[in-house]
Amino acid sequence: MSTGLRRVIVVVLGLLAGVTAWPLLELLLLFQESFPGYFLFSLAQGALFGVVLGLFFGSGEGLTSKDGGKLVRGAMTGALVGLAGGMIGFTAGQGVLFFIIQRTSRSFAVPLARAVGWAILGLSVGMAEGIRAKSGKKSAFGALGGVLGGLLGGIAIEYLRGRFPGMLYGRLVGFLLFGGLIGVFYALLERRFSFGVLRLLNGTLRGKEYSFSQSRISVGSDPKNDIVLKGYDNVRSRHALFRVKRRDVYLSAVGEDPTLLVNEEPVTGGLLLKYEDVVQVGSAKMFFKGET
Amino acid sequence: MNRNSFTVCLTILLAVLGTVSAFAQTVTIAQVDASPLLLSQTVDLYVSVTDGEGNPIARIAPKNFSVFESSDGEDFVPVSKVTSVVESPHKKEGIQILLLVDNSGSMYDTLWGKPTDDTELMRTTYARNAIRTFIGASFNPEDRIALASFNTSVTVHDENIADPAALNGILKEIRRPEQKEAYTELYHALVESVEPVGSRQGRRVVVVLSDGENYPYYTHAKEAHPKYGTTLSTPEDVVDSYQRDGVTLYAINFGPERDRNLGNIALQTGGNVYDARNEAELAGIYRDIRRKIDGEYRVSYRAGMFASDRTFVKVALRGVRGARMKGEATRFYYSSTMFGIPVDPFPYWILLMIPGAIVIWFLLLVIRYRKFHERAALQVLQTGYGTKVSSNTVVLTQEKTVIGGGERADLTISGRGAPREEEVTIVFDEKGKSGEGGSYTIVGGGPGITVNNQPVTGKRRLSGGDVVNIHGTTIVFEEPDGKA
Repeated sequence: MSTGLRRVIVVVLGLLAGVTAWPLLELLLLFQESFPGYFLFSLAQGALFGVVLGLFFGSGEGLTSKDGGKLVRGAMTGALVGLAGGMIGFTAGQGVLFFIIQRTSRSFAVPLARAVGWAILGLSVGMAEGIRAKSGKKSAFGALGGVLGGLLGGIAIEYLRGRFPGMLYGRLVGFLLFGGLIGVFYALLERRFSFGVLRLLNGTLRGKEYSFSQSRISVGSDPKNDIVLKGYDNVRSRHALFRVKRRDVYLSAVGEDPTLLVNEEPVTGGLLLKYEDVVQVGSAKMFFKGET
Repeated sequence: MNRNSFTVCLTILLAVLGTVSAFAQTVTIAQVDASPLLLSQTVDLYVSVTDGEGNPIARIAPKNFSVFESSDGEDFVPVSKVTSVVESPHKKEGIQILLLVDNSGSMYDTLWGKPTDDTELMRTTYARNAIRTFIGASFNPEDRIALASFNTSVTVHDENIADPAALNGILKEIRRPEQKEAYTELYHALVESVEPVGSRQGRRVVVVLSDGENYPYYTHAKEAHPKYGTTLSTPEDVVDSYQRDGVTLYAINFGPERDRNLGNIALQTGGNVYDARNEAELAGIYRDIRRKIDGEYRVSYRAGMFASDRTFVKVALRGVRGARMKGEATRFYYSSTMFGIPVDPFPYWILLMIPGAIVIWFLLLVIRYRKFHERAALQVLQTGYGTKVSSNTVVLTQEKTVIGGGERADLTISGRGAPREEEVTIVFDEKGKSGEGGSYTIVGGGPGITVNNQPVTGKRRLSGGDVVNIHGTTIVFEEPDGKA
């Protein structure tokens, strides 16, 4: 799967997250008066929203790589990060909303305050994949994507609320935009901050592409690696490591005497990769290229 | 009943009524502070209780206060708990005060509305003296007092007068306006002035001193206002902004003319309106405002949960010193949540969207995102600059597959990176040893042609995933699926 298609799927996952979160949150709103206070109510809403978005976005990597283990781990991590991020983000957003609407009489203050709240929520949700991958860089652009998507989605929700106050689907459209825009901005920023793409050329993963959007990418047959090479010969559990230093990508072998070639020549030490290099890990061949 | 008995009864009745009247109370919610709502579910009300003569009533027992809430302003329910009632909370905590002084042209007339050149006789002189008296007499280090003036526009002279001694210098900044600046934009000034004080914590008050009615620039100069354009603020705009920001307006009419709406605006914000005809009365009014604010109660209670954008709160006062139950006041605060209010009735069918989304997610999981090859193929990964290819994928079905620049080639590369007529050929050998289906060999080569970035001269056997580069066009040799 190309990085482009994978990014489209991330956007679709955002839309699905919005579709799923909408009825659940509409249902939760029915029980507002049963809650003892706004704090717990905000936590509950944030937890529900964050878990749903975290589940969908967290499952993305496993879904595109058809890796069951990665799928479950990603979804669970995404749900946990989403749970925490949703609770923090939503409660902070509600705090901002209360803070602003009780301090200004401007007519645009309430929708703007809500949009800021949505942006904070988006920030938390957008960071989930970066936290799962233990990547500060991914977390950073995920957060930025989340803020932008959350802000624009939030503005859309508020606009639709104001424009069509009785419309049932107003919040749904807003949720779709919220989830979808987080996916769009995540994808755009991932592309913008990517140092290149590694494309599998043969075997079971032929055609799959990995974006260099984090500073370390490990390769091996063990499921804990970032690139898991299953079904290839002579691939060790942890075979090689890509490192990004100042926009340059270096490749080094892990352990002794693994089959690691670049342009059919063995790799010794940390080798600086250039675009169009052909990397061979065991029987797996990969092509290193720039983002298109 | 004889005549004497009737007289006695009437006397007693009048005496009782007189007593009741003397003790009649007015309850006003001067400010609602819902800032602790999220973290502690608490709302603070600043409540003013005055007797029939407008004097603050002190030492009211907490049990006399009852608080109710409502989502619609009609059906009120008692709150679960009044957590505290604090008398005179501002003595310790201070007040956020904005003094807003009229500096329109008429403030430079005498108190009776006659033009004068004698500074001592001008209304503005009396007003400035009253401000000095107010700040000097009531200065509390915990207070934060700002001073602004208005005419056609609003000027903030000092956001925090830290020292009463600095006041003279600040007041000198208020100068007689030119004709275009001399209009009385009272409502715009009130709306604009609520912003700086409304964003502060604690008890917030605007005291406006004006000698005339709202006299907008746009209406009377017949041209757009430099800042407000053709927009006119209404009394409703003023009330709405003060109520939303939780700011109380005290209005002082200074001079024989007055704005007919100003009093009502002040009352709706929890404040009051006064008339002053001279400097002594002005100073007395400022002291009275201060006394009223100092005499307020802060009633804190545990708020309820209502699915509405606004929650109405009502305070009722019962049985204070034998008075009839009269004191009751209602205000609202914003309790809007991020998602807003629920849909009523709830459309349960929307829950079906959840399994629908899960089905789509599952389809994304099971769909195969790549083409499976039963035969070997050439896949173009990227073309060189200014170069085109006849096809992105060529399935190798023949014994020989030609890649070249001519039209007869099976994969034609044209443009700047085009090779010569027949550049390379992929030859299939059925008896080859590299797999059950035979082997493929690249034949040809020369400068600008590589396999896995290694030069090709003569011929070379290909294996799955080998990258052939022909003058910048990158092609992958893909074996049939099942071979790694």
